[in-house]
Amino acid sequence: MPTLGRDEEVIQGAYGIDLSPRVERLRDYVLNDATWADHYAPRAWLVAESMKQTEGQPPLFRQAAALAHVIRNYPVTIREGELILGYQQHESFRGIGWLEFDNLTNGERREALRNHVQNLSIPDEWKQKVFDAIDYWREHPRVIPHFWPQTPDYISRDTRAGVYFGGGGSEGHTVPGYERVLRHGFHAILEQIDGEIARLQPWKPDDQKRKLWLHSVRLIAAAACELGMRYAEELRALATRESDPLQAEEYRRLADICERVPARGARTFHEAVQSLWFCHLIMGWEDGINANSFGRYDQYLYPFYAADREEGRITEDEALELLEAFHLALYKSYDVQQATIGGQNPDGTDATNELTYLFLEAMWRVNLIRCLSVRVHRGTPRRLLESAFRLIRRGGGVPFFFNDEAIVPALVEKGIPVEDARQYAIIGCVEVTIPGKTNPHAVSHMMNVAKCLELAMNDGKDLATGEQIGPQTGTLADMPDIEALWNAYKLQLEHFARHAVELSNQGDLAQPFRFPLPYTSILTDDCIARGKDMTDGGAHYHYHSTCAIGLPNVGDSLYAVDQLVFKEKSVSPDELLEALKANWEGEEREKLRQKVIHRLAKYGNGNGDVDRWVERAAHHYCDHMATYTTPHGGSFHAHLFSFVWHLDCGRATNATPDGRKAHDPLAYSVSPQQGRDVEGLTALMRSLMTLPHEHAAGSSSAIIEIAPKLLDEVSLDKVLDVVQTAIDKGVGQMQFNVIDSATLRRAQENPEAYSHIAVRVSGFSMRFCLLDKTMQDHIIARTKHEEM
Amino acid sequence: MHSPEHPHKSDSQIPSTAVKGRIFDVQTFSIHDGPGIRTTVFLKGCPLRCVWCHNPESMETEPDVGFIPAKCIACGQCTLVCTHEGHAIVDGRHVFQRGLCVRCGSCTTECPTGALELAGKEVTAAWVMSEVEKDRMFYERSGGGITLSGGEPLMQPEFSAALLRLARDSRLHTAVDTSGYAGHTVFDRVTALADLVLFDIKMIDERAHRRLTGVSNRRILRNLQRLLRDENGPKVWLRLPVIPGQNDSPDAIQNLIDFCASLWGNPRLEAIHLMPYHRLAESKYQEFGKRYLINGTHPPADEDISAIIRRFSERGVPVTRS
Repeated sequence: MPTLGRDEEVIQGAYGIDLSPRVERLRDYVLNDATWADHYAPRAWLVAESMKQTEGQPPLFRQAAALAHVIRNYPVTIREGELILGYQQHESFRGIGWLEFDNLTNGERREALRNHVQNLSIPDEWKQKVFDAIDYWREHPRVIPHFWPQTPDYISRDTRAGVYFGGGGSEGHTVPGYERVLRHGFHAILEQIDGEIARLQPWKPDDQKRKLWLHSVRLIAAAACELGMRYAEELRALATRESDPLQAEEYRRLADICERVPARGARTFHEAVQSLWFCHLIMGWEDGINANSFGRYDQYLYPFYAADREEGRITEDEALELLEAFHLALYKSYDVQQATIGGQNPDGTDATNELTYLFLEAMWRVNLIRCLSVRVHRGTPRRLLESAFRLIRRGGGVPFFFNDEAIVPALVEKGIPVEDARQYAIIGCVEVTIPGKTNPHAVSHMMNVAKCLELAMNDGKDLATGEQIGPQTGTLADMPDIEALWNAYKLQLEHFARHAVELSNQGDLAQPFRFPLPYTSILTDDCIARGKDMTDGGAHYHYHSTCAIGLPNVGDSLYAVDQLVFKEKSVSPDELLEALKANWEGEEREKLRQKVIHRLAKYGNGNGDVDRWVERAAHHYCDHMATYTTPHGGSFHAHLFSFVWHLDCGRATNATPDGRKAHDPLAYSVSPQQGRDVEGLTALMRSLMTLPHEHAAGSSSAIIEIAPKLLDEVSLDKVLDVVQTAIDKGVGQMQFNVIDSATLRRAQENPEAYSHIAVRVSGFSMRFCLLDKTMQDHIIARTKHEEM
Repeated sequence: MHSPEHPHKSDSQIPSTAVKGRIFDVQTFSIHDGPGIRTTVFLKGCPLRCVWCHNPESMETEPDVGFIPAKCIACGQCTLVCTHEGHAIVDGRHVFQRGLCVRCGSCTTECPTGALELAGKEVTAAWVMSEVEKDRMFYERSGGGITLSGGEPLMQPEFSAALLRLARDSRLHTAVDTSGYAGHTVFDRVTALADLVLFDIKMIDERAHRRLTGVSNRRILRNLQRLLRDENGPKVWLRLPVIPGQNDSPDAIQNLIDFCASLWGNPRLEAIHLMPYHRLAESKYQEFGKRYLINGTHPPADEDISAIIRRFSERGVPVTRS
């Protein structure tokens, strides 16, 4: 059984699944084609070409015209064996494909880009076109307006100190309403736009604005109607030249599909998948391949699949092959083009269908790790969890689990009707949206709550530099009890929250000028009806997600201060502050740190006394952020998620009372500080259950490290019981990382950080078990064996 | 056998919640000690001295002081509290003279790093149950409950009986993991309160049993017969440790197979598990200053275990690997 996680091992072909020769070939295209990564170049010159032709026109119109030009002229590439046509350019946002955002008045940057292009394996003719594009942008630098002339000093200072950062933008993070194109085609969207244009009363000022917008996006919809046709023509040409009659027939069959979609509604499953892919290609041309996600594809593709099966037009194996091809078309060395499967129907019943399983099966078979999320709820079939864990077992951490029991009520709390809330889907890593209806401003800003606590203990001053950053809320020595520190922490956080919200709202207000999203907008309700871009208030739902980073550290720290300073009184406030300022250095301070680490309870072990502080901090964050408003009347959704910023925030944060040293990473999202959870899986879950997931509409996130042994046949059943209990109790999001031999190696070098790696053996007490080097080597060898 | 409705005389003297016992661990998410997800309570003290024992800190009734040098920062805090000069810092390194230790445990409460830890504390049954109750939701989902292990739970019959009774009262599935070595009154009284008994069979040959565990197995085998005869008694899972070079000779295995074959079919006997030797206990021997007599033993190869399972199966006895 293959248990691979890392791409390099996959490339070596160490898998034992009988893929069809076609899929083997597609897989080879993806993994071994050295040139595929270079195919993003055309966007660069096509945009510049269009811009030359639209000099002097309004910016929005020019941007839409440029995208339409890309759709009409992007080279058509078709390789033998492909079932899903259309090459997705590789490079993500702000690479060479996005020259308009590059600083090309800078000679060095130009030179670097030229050298880069020179080394690409693309035709010389293409290279020349990219050089021309670079020259165009040098001569016509794009002015990127901000909402304010400059960032306020206090925000610069706070971000420099690492208290918060962000920008409020929303490019690259959406789930558009693809379902509409699948059902009715871009022609339907074009007709809707034309209908709105016909109803305009241009003597009214608002309609003047709408007119410009509608005419601009019309260019895109019209071009999108022609995209399939360009492929159809090429396919027919190939069919004529093809000597193998079977292959010629396949080209003709594919040509029929592309003639139909995405212009018109799909009639078959294959047409629907191809239509989806075309929609997604355009998405990548608009704002890059980053976290542009698919949403609930097992749901909106299902009617097409079911009809084909009913009519006998497709077998399960054929559908699976198609999904494998889709999966391979999607594969890139890095991106987070997330997809969501499973979950509830709008009426609350379970939405799992055959496609849900087929998507998991396709990912299993293709054996390349891609973002995939499974929505779960109380009524999720056990079989779906089992299928998901089969994938998890081989490493890579996917799929993630998102719990409807927490996220739906959290969205409803934000005023989203429950039927819509139950349609939520995941963007990118761990971001929540209502597909086709939302401008979600994912990860709009990040708040380092651990830094807020640092400032709360020290009168608003940085512990190391003494710089006054936050308001003067007193030092620990002035505080009579832990509630005083808690109040100071809240004051600091609320002070910075106002600034962070200012930053996000500025970014939101600037976005329509800086980078509107006309294509995403025509696939987002109610932009066309309102004649407004989604970045300008056109979307049905608007909100921002605001990330809290370091909550577990705040909770552990508040508990530690309460115990040591106020309850035991074994340490004076000044002693503790000095210890933190000195980064715990010195014999007595190190002793104190050891005591904090080993003798005080920590979040993650099911201890209510300490968990309560993390819960309190998380709850306060959710409640407080809900008091702010976004430019289009939305709110800030608490997002208990750190992505990789717990490393950056850690670097910006001095020593904390939880025993963490200065600049060490903070805890990941709402997972315990690394190595502090030592009581096992159920205790960890009990801690997670205490948190207010049902108020975090941006989702929470927890990575749970798990030994491969726990996923063997005997143990998996019990792990699933734990997962189902966690679902019942409303834990928001869970992702399981199977510990691999590399992790164990790191554990050997730094045992303290990995003391949560536990095994279970019948009748064996782990409590005093310390694995010595030989023993660890043995387990590493064993794990490696199991990985093979 | 006594039924729970007719408590032993000593039971009624104090309420179950107040009965005290000595334990060295309460381990949540135990998944190999009976059905479902369980919390295993490890009781201190054992009458056997199996050379392969994987919980060396369980053997003695008295508390044991464990010392993990890797965690020690030689801060000397222990030297300040030890009344018997058992700890010293010599050339910046900590030296623990175990011979002087009276196991009072004061160093272990003082040690900031957890390098010194005490195995064995006296607790009430009520305290244990409050720990066990925390995972109730997981037992309910998985059909799990509480397992008494050790050590030997039968060495603390009042305490074990109190725990089992409290667990039953709160509708938890109860299991006892035992060597079966106890007087039959005690054996009956405790096991009658369990839903499941995890019963170790280490060797069939009595002399070898005595040599490797320090006790005869006559009582053990007799207790097992009693258990299997009782129609209203608990379910039984037999657990057969396989220790290379100790109890896995062809003869010894053959004896086990014959023995199990003679029992299989008994309605009380639900399962038989092989428990292959593992080396995780090695470090604990060092920590507790005990000699590991089978140091260097390698765990049995997967093929060897499979071969044994096959031999059982040929005799019509389904055996699984734990």
